[in-house]
This record gives sequence, structure tokens and C-alpha cells, in this order.
Amino acid sequence: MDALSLAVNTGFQALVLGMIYAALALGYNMVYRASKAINLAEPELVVFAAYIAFIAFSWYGLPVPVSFLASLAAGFLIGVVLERLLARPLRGRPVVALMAATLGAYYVLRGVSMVASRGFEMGSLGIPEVYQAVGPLRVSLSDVVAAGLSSATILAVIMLHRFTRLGVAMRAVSEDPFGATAYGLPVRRLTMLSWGIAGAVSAAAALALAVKAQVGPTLDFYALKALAASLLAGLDSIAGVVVGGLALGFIEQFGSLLLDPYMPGLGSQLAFIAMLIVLLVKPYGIFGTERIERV
Amino acid sequence: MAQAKYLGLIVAVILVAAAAALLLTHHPAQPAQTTTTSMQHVKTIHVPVGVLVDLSGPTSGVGRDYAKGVEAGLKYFNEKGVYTRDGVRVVFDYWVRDYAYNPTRAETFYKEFRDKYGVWAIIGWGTADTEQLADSAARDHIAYFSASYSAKLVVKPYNFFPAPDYSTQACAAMKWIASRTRNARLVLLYDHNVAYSRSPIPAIKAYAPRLGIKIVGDVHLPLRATEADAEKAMREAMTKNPDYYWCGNTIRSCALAVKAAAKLGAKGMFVINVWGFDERFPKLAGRGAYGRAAGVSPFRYPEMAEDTPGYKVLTAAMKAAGYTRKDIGSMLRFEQGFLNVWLLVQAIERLNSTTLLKGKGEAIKEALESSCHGKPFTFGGLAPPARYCPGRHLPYTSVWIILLGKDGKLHAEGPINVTGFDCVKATLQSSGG
Repeated sequence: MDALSLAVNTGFQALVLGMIYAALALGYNMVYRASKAINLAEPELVVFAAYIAFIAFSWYGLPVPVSFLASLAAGFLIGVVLERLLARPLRGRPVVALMAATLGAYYVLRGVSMVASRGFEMGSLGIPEVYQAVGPLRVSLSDVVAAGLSSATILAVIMLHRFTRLGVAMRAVSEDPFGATAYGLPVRRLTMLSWGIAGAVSAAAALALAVKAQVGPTLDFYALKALAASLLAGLDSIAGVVVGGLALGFIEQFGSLLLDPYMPGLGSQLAFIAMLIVLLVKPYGIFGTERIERV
Repeated sequence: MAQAKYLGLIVAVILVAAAAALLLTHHPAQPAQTTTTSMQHVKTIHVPVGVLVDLSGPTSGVGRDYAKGVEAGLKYFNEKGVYTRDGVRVVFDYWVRDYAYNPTRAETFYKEFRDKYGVWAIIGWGTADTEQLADSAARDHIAYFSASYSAKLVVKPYNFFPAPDYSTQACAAMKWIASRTRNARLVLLYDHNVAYSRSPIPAIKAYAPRLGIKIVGDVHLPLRATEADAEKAMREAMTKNPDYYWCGNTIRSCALAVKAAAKLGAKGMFVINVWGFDERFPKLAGRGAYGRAAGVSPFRYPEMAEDTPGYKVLTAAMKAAGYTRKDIGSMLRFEQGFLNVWLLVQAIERLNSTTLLKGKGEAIKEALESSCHGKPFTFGGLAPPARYCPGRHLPYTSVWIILLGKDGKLHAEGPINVTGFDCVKATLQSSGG
């Protein structure tokens, strides 16, 4: 295999994985923008959403698109419930309280997903094996589905925020909730909707991830990596999060390609090392808004 | 006031989370009852057992069904009744803990089992944690039955498993390869950072060249691989132009590697370690894997052993635990968990009540080792008869190769017996063990 083919194929896989990370990171981003806290329940929400699709597809024989829709609906619902039960009562309290509460929700969701899946271990979402060579590039249907799902998710979030009245209202609430209230915006409802959409976005990302890594309880690991991408880029910037996700994909794939033969496993940890360095130099991330607080 | 309300809410959420976690990991067996003190009037002996499993960590893909098998075994034998040689009823009190494949957490739970519940036996899981706890188990006289079949455990006095060690299994796989292809070229694919995956590698490297197999590559494949990682590893492996690939990870990772091979048009056959291949493999790896993958198994696959008495016991245990076939992803993993319990039960059945009460874990160990020159332990045809000798707990040395045929069905070949080469020794020597 020549170097060009290796680089092209690794680059393509890095791109697909990067888009999945970006979509996962958007789940954190949307919650952060709405409530200024990191949703630590997201990794388990990802596992739960993937299991919902798997159960719908594999046990109830629903078609893949319907299973995916069920998963998105479940993600949305969980987001709304988390907002109603945790974020709303803790509004105005220290951010760390909400983060602790989402950590609690992580364990609750883990329990629920274990019970819901009847302790079932893992499975495949049943994407047919179809391969196609495009020049030096080998593309499978699962690549196309994963890339399509994650890029559609990213695009949908960007378009929602840029081009819809709802998105503008959500941005207004995120930037200045008191001002938004003064203008008559339903701040509570919009915050709840933000959490719900964040849940659906995480579910969509979970499906893309499950296509590439199969359904299983360890999917939460990738969602944690996506948190690194969010922190690297800056949690409150949508564009930054997308760049961060892509950067994570490329750093990880090319890092392990170059380093695994000499130091196995180090390449996949490079993203965390990069995140640490960035946070030391720029605590709000590369694209994050620096908050100036009066003391 | 408001602050107290919110604090209360947070505490409530954390409590709910803790309760959920407890519900999942703590199975309310009877409290740690001690046995009746007066030995003349013993009616029932309560044997405390710790169960250490991975339900949420990187090996949970095979760990959950194993855990179900262990629990089903304990429930089944508790219901059916286990009796010592002199007819005293034995009941297992057991505690299940999910350690998520984290050796540090395993050690914490081990201490809990030992100090809080005073367990006599542990049904455990992974390689790193079992190896780490082996010396403690010996010191504390706790009989330890693991799902790890690491060669390093063969020489540990309190460690047992009803299978040949990974190294012996891998050697049998090498023998199978040599019988199919002369001077075969082999690439090793496994996670270089995981004790389970690394375990048989020294034995493969020592034994394969003796059979004319040339090891041409040693490639890192992460246990938590994505398709991208598997594809990358396969691209590197393919540059060595092998006839065979040894996949030493668990099933998810190995299935992705075989899938990647099909996508890249790689030639060659995959031979996969015991935890990397089971009945789910054809579905997980897809049609591209048909005719190009085989798994090593010391056990008869349940679907291939339906005519055996062992299978009837296994399905009875499944029913006793309230499971249907639909609740079990892999019956093989369920069987592996169940067999560990069955081995413990058979050891207890060889003891009389006084010896068991007096010796506890040590008595169980001695009962197991009594098979060395005596009657072996049998598993109703699910696994070969097992004998354990003091200093060398290698119950037998044969394995089956389960071939995924071009028809998408599984076919058993063998059993293959490794003779004339000590694969355990090869591994121990390489690690200074």
C-alpha cells in the first residue's frame, strides 16, 4: 500500500470520526450555552440512545430509520427531563451544583440503560456491508451513514442557530437571560428546548458513533473524548466545537498511525495532551469567549 | 431556606444514583451468615462468595453474559440443593460487584469481600485484576475462580479455571494453522496495553516457529477500537502479506478487524482468542467474515452440545434464574460463567461438612487438587474432564477451533491437543514469572 493511499484513507477516517466527535461535542456545547454548565450525563445519554435504536431495530424489528427516530425522540425527552428536574431548580445556584446533579443523572441513566437493555451486551445496527473504491479511497456504507448523520446534525444545529427565529431566541437567552425576559421571550421554555435539542443532537451523534463502533456500554468513552474536543475549542463556540471535533479526529488518527508502531496506544491519547496544553495557555479554549468577572 | 431546598435536591439525586448503582451491583442475597458453631448440629452451611464482574467497562461486551451465567449458577444450585459428602446442605451467600475492568476498583471490592463478608471463594473476571489479586487470595486462603485463563495463574495456589490457559489455547491454534498451511505467515493483532490480550503472545512467539509458522508482524489493535482504528491496524497488518491473523482482543474489537479486512480486500484467515469469538460473531462481523474467521474454544458451544447432559443443566440454570434465551446475548459466555460455579459446587460436594467449615477456602482448594490423581471434575460434556495438581492448575490441554464457514454457520474442528511443548512455561519464562 503506497503512502498516498494510506494518507488519503487515514485522512478520510479522521474526517468521519472528527465529524462524529464534533456532533457529540455539540451536545455539550448547547447545554453549556443554555445553562453555563457541562452536562456530565451526556456520555451515558449517548449509550442509552444507541441502545434504544438497537432494541427498536433488533428486538422489535423496526426499520433502521424508524429505530433512529425513536432514538432521537428518546434523546430529546431525556434532555427535557434533565432540564426540568435538574437545571431549572438549580438555576441561579453555583454551576458546580448542576454539574454534580448531571453526574448523578449519569449513574441513573446507566442503571436505566442496563435495565432497559436487559443486561444485553452489544450488537450491530445492521448497516449492510457495501464497499466502494473511489481512486485510492475505500468507502463503506457505514462510513457514508456515519458521516452523513454527523454532518447533517452539525448542519442542522448551525442552521437552527443562524437562520431560524427559534435559534436567534435561544442565542438571546443564552447570552443575556434577563434581557431576553425583558423582551418577553419565554426563557424557561427556550432553555428547556435547548436541553431537549441537545439531547436529540447527542442521540444523533450516538447513532453515527454506534455505526462506526457498534452498540455497547463503552460508547460513553468516546463521548468523554468529545468533551476534550469541546474544552479544546471553547465550550461556548459552535464553530469552535466543530473545529475541535475535527482536530480531535485528525490528531487521534494520524497520531496513532505514526506513534502506534513505537508506542502503542499513545496516539489515541494525544488529544488529551493537546487539550491540557491548550487549557494551560488558554483556559477558555481556542475559540472560547473569555469571561471577565469583577471581584 | 432556598439554598437548603436545592442542596436537598442535589442530595436526593445523588442518593437516587447511588441506589440505582447499588441495585445493579448488589444482589440481596442473605446477609453474611456464619455457619452454626456447634459442628455436631450443623444443618446448613452458608458459603460466602464474592462475584467480581465487568458490566460497564471495556470488556463488558463479553462480561455481562458471563455475569448472568455466574448468578444463574449460584441461584440454580441454591434452589436445587448442594450437599457436602456427609449430606449437609450448602447455601451460597453471594455479593456481586461491577468493577468495570479497573484493577484498582477490583482490589477495593476484594477487600470488601474479605473484610466485610469473609468470603471463602471469589468468582472473578479479568486478567490484570486476577493476576494482581492472586497473591492476596493465596495469603487469605480464598479460592479464586476467574474468567481469565492467564498462564501466570496456573502456578498460583488458589487460582482455578475450568479451561487450559490462554497460552496453551493459542498454542493449539498454532498447531491448527500449521496443519492447514505449511510455513504460514502470521500477523499478531492485539492491544499491546491490555494484560489479557498480551497474555498468550510469548507462547505464540516461542511455539509458532517450531511449527514452521513465521511471525511477520506485531500490530496494535485497541480493545476499544472504532472501525477507523481497526482499518488502520489492518492496513499495517496487510503490508506484511500474512496468511493468518491472530486476533487477541475481545469480540467487538476482533469483529471490527475482520470487517475492516473484508472492506480492504485483505487475504488471509483470522484465528481469534477465546473471548474474541462466539455465536454473535457472524452477525457482528458481517458476511465478509464468512469463511475467513475461526475462534478458539476450550468449551463446547451450547448450540453444538444440545445432546449433552451439561446442556440440560445449563438451560435449567437459565430458567431457574428467570432468563429466556432472548435475555442472553451469548450462550457461550453464559456457559463460561456457569462452569466456574459448577466447578466450585463439585469441589464442595467432595468435602465433608467438618472439613469445609474448618478449612473454608483452603478446603475448597484442596478438594480441587484432590482431582490430580483421583476422579476428575466433569461438566456433562460441555468441557473435557478437569484435573488440578498442586503447583500446576492446568486442567486439560485441548481446545476446539470453531470455524465460521462460508455458509455463515459455525463448525467445530478438533479437539486439538498440545503435546510436547510447555506453553505455560514459555509465557512464565518470558515474563520472569
